[in-house]
Amino acid sequence: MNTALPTTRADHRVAWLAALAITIHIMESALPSPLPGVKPGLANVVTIVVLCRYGWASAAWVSGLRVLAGSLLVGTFLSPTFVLSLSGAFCALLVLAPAAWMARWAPRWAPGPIGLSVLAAWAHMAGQFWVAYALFVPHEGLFHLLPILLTVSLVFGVASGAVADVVIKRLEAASA
Amino acid sequence: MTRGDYVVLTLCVLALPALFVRYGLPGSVGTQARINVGNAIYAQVPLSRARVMRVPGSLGISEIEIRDGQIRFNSSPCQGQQCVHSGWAKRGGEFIACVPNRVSLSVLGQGAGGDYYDSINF
Repeated sequence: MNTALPTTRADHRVAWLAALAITIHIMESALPSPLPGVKPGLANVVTIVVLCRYGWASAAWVSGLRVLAGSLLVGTFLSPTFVLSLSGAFCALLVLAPAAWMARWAPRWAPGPIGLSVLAAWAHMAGQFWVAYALFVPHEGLFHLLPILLTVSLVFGVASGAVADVVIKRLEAASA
Repeated sequence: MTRGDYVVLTLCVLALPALFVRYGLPGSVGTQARINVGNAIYAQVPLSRARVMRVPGSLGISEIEIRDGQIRFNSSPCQGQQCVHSGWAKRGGEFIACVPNRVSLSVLGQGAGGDYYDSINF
């Protein structure tokens, strides 16, 4: 009896890219952070590249698999860290959907990798923040951290967007 | 950089000052101070009004001054004078104690999360 699930090329591509994102995610989690609660989010470079090249659905798969498998490997599955990570990724994808559709319907005003990365970074931070406030620390004082965290995530968003931009251009050159 | 990128970045850069104004910085400047004698609250006073208070502790009178949104021990009947040397306190969560006289000052931030320190160890 053949029990193998039929897989498509796209499935394999998602799996490879998710593996790459998970690797970056884990390497990054070993780095010390300048501010508690902030990290560069380098794994999002992969998400942005996938979004620009293969579309939103692939990006959602890669991002979701990264959160799930990354948490299993780091050992944070179902912990508060996981909940925050998941809510951040969810909000980022939510915001990226209309932004990515703009590439098709209003290409003149569509954000490129840098804009997408900044949008994702802010949505990620805002989503995490809201969940942190709603579930873990329902205290007004938490909001004093918001402006600083968003400033840092703007910088990191631009940085990883610039990296994604370079990667996308190289990939286009290589496949042309 | 596409036109959309500039739109996103401009909106973010414009939003940040608004957020800083709305939410302030962590450990923002305190607005009130609480003066304790022993375990009891002696007074809770706004830092906006300049005044000098004479607070009776277990050794004698501690003189406490409030000026320019700050608070300090002006003089103390104690030996070490550490409370006086601590100088001014103004940020939420800052705390000065005159242990011998059992008088302490704590600046209240806007809630515990607005405090400058989340914990202090001695």
